Amino acid sequence: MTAHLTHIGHLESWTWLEAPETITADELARASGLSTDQLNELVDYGALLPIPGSAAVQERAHVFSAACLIPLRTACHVQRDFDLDLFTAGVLVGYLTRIDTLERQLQSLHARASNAGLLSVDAV
Amino acid sequence: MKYQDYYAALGVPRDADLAQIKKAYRAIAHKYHPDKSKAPEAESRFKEAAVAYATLKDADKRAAYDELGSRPEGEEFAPPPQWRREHSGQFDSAGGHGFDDLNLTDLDLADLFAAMGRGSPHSAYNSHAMAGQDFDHTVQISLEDAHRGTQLNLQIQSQRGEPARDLQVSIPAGVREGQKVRLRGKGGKGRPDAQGQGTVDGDIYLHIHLAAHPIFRPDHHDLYFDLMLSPWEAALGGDVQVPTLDGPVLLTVPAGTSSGRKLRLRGRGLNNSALKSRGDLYAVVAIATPSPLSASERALFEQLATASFFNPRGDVAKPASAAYTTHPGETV
Repeated sequence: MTAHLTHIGHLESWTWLEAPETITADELARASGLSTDQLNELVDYGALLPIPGSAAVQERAHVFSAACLIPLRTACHVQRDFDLDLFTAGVLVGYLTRIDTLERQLQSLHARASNAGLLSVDAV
Repeated sequence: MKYQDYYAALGVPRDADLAQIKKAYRAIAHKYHPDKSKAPEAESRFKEAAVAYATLKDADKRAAYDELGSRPEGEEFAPPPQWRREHSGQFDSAGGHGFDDLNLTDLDLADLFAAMGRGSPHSAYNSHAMAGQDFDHTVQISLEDAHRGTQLNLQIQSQRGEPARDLQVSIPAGVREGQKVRLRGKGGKGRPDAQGQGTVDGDIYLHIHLAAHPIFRPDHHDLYFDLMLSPWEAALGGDVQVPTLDGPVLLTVPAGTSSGRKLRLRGRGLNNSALKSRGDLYAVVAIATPSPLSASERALFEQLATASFFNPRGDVAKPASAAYTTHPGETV
């Protein structure tokens, strides 16, 4: 079966997983394999930060930055595979997000720094 | 149904307590988790341990498993009638099915225990909806393709026996290193429940990776490259030809340019489709000296050294001040 996606940016199914894209609590729960209660527990722990004001219309109907999906999915996989508790998964989300940020900063520094002369160090 | 020795899979004795079982599982998971180990047997070893642990960590399931007795690994067997009667109640909460009317020969032991407590043993196949498989795919594209956009042909290979699928994906111009994309519902097909409800197809996650470029280094939509200059080009300035994604252009180097200085070519970076603009291209100056020097070059440099009062190190290399204490034998 071949699915032809002529311009994926125009399809509803295509989501960039980064700010300013957003994702609803239901969708985040579905994609990460968590229940809504578990998702709310992570919000209570401070592991997930809803976009401010997003729960105003309906209690707990949070909206999140789409950037949190990948670290949350990874943390949930690790939680299941290593039989960890939900709180630990929440801690992992924080560390995974931080690692991602640091990797981006490192890549940015590598790009900006001159590579000339880095390949060989001569003893003098 | 084939017998699987869950205790052997975890490497624990049959009388191991829960703490021992958990410790053994975590040790195996730590060693063989597919994210950590690239050994060919790692995935199967991890799955085997995960299936064993899922049953043995649950007191009711473990008791039921123990009642099946110990058998050689892989031996064909069927749960005895008494076992079926005793545990029938753990399987009929959803649909009123017991064991007696079921053919268990095509049922896997793992499925049997996975279904325990949530309905018929055949519910793992028939009664309950099952979400489709998610796929994570790292796609490596060239800087030029990221700049202009490209089409990718991906082959999605399911682990659930579904036939492989080809998926054609258009990557828009301006994609960046490390970007992640979710294709909702384009993953494995979900399986509906007995009423045809609850189908949720899986997703595809694309992790964009830009292949290393021999010249340019991307930072978001900006590009950086090393611009090597001779000492006289750096000192006197002038026009030098530099590469861009659109072909070479002339860049004016100001007189007195030092190493590390960044010269910007506005709008010569990567496409930024979101802002309908382009990033910038930065030439990072590095001064290269000829080596070895010819006799005439050496003479000219020596002449320059004599004529110039320029000291690039400023005060850094001044002789020791009163604040600097020398050690015996140390020369300053």
